Amino acid sequence: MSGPDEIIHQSTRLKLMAALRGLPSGEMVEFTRLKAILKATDGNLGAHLIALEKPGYIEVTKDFVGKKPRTRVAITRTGLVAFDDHVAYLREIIDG
Amino acid sequence: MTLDKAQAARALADIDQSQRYSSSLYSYGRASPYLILAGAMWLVADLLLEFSPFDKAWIWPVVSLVGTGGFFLLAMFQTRPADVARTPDKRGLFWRILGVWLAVFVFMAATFTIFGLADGRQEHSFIGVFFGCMYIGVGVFMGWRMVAIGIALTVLSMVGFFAVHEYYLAYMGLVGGGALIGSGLWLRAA
Repeated sequence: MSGPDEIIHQSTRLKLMAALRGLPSGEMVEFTRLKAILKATDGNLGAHLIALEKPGYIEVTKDFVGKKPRTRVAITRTGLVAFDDHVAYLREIIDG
Repeated sequence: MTLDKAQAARALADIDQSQRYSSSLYSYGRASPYLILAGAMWLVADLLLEFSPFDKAWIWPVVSLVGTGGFFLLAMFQTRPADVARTPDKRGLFWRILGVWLAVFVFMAATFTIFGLADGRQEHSFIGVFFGCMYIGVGVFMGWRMVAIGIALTVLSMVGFFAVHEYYLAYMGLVGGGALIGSGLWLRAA
């Protein structure tokens, strides 16, 4: 049995990765929407995004819509594999 | 770090909940402009049918044609080339939407032919109930808001058929079309 992914397993990051995994592949989600899904503050969410971006689990894209800044987040191939492995690990524990 | 069964079960429940919620919000965002456009078509066409002093035979065909063009534009807008390059599974979206519309059109034409619906009231209410039930069915997979929209549309269409006699078309336009526009805005705000 492989071990848990300690970066992903933290509660907020786990939900964040799950929220991104719930979208069609390659789809991006806006920072504000993620905040609503996770019920997190700007600072809290920002810190978790950095933690997931470092190992390459997510991709953060910043641009402007008109004059308004927009931050979008998508799960990467590496993140997808890591998340699926983590879920498989959790299922193995349940199955004994 | 090691986890016990209870912790693993909690984590899996959190994952399931977040995935469902995120997926519902995503679907709501995609569906919202279609509902607003469908509602606008319904509202404009029925109000014109009720109040226009001119020949009314052209109203629904023209509105349907313009609306269908709008649906294709929306589908194309939601399937930008950059997205297609990133997510190849979207390539067939345009043709899938066309297929769904054709299936709906054939179903309506066949139903009207088989049952010989005689007046506009029957046709209007049937279409309202059909789309209402379709939204309920889609909502079972997509999220409770779509189910609520479907129920509202079905009930309002039935109420219109049995209880509204004067200004029936205006009622259907305002209530049916208005319900869809309101629903689209409701989904957008989710």
